[in-house]
Amino acid sequence: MKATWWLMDRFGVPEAIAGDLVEQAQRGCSAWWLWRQAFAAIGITIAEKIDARGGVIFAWALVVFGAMAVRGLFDTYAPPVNYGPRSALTTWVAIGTYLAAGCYGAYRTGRLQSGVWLAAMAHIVGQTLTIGFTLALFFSVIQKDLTKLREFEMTGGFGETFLLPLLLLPVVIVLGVVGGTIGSVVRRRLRTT
Amino acid sequence: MSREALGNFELMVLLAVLRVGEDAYGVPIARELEDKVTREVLLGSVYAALERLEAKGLVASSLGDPTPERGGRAKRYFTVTAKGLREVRETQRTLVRLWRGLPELKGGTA
Repeated sequence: MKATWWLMDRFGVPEAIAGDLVEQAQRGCSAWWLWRQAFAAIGITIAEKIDARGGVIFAWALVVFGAMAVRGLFDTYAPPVNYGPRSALTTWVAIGTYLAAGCYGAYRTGRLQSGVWLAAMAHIVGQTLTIGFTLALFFSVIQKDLTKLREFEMTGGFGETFLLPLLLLPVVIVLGVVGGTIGSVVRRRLRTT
Repeated sequence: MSREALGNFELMVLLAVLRVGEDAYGVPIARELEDKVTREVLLGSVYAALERLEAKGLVASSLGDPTPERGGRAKRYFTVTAKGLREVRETQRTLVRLWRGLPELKGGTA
């Protein structure tokens, strides 16, 4: 039961709904009913947040997508001789973007969770756009050219396209926490001075 | 009918708030709906509909006092505004006009 309240708190389910569910729990409703209602409330709260902040999420997702698309275009049309500097640059741009998104989200709302959410959603939406872009690039250009096809496979191929975004999600969440902490601290400092 | 027409579920929630009366907060509203539609209603959906209705100015809400049986959380009470009442009446009139004289519905329970 405690896990239900903790989850609802974390996901920002409004006090009135959480209170109604506590009341029903006290009246002896089944644990199954409670979990169903709690998960639905969490889902609806998340959907409302996305709906309300869709523009901000999309803007940050475009930054993520832009960086990935530029990298994809360079790899296809002007592949570097040495992939080291290119990889380092992409990694630092990604780290900077997720830290900045986390910082911005927390600074705007004063809540660390908002920063984490913004970084995670920017990653999910941005990488989804990137997958679409990579598929389009693959079927229109890469697969028709053996050299480009070899370059594509050498730089990770579809494994990197589909799996890497999933593997990176925990890292993005950590960066969101760091950025969010910075955003919250900056907001508090600016409000108290 | 107004430009921001009521959705089916929104209309049902609005009617449930009217039926519950003074003590209209999430639990009795959801119970009233469950009683009439005879299926489980999600509290989250009820509150989402109430939020939309409040944004349209059709219901107003106020917070009650936090109580121990709710783990120190306050109740949010809802009332239908004058605009909400007008909207319900207008929707009812429109639906009745559309209903009337339909041969497909004759002999049914509608």
